[in-house]
Amino acid sequence: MNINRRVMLGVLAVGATGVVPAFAQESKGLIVIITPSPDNPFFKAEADGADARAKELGYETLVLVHDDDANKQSELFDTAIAQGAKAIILDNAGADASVAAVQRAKDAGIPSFLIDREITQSGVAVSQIVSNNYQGAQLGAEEFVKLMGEAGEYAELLGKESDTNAGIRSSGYHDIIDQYPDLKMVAQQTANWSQTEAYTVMESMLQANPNLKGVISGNDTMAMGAYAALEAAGRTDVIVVGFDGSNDVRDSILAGGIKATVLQPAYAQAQMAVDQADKYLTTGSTGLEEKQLMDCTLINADNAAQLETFALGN
Amino acid sequence: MEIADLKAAIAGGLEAAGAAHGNQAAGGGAWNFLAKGEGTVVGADRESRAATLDVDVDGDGTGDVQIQLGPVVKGTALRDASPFYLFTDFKDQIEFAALARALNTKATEALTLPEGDLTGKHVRFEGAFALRSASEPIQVVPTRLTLGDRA
Repeated sequence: MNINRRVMLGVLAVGATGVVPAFAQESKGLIVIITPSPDNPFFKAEADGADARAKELGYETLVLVHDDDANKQSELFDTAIAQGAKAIILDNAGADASVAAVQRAKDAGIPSFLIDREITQSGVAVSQIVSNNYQGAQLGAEEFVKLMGEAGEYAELLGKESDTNAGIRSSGYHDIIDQYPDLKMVAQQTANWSQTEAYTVMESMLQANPNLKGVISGNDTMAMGAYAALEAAGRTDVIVVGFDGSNDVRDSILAGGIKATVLQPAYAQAQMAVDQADKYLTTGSTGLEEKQLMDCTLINADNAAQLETFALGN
Repeated sequence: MEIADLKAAIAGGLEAAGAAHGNQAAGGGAWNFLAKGEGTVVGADRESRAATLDVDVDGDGTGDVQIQLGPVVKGTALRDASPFYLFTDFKDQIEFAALARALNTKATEALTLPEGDLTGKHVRFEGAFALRSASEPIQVVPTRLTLGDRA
């Protein structure tokens, strides 16, 4: 468990001397940041973004990982409650399964600020800031249609079913692609956002569909896995489009591999959530709607060079 | 709002024009406007799945407003120009997106346009459009579109 050092030291110091150390008096309290595994750079960027902003604003932080396990997430919420957190920044482990945990924190007087993924109820979290996945998926799909020349066989890699973002991206893709009668989806399968799973799924999709011309993927890690499988099969001619805007896919685009992705402003989104938490804790209100959408941006060879850690420079 | 007035306001700064005449969804992003206007058809793409008409509204002979004819309609301007559709009121992004799609479909399904070349025809329109920057082209999703010879 990645417990912030200052919290640990603080606890030890209080235990040893019975006196609250000076730096703890300056602290505005503890913000607990809970995300999926940082193995996916997207989640690392948001955890880093939230952590940096919270410290800038004078909070202690505790960064925890739920590994997309709702039970583990529930335990982490108990930890946050037991530690007397002032606020929780959460990228959740399931749209339905997370409602109870967020409600429990609310009942304990701890407001939650959600990023990236929604939960299926309003009025439980204070903020839910998510990328405009529908808008982003349509950008990705328009680019994909163009790259495909509006015709040919393609496959789709879906994300984790418990995550609303998997469904919304797929529906954004299809609202565009299905309007082109010469584009034929020959395979559609989940790879659960996972790079290794996408590699295996892509191998079998390619065997079953040798005429495959394109792959549209629900995220970048799956796009990376798919492209690796295509490369291994000598099929780098297949057009791959991802979603997230990771540095890995940026590098692939610049090297002529993957063709495009859609940037979600992960780092800025996490910082925005912390700003709203701070405003809420200070004034009692964020002054904003609970559910907020942040626009996504198409990334291709034209602008990939400006992309760094989920933010587009000039 | 009349498109000419709106274009003048936008030229003076999108943020100010948006705050005064438009609507922005929670979380930021595009400014969405409701507009009406009239002009002359100066070009069209009726073949594409995302069919469009180019309309000259200021009389300089070049198109300054594009009317989206569908069936592929870009964006969610119809939904987002309406201040009463709030994302918080919807279960998830999927339902909120379904609303946008339904509005777009309803708008373009209702259009009746004659086949053939429409260049030179006079057109009146009402609809919504979204801008992320003042320099972006205006692409109107029409809620009303009438065509005729120049009055």
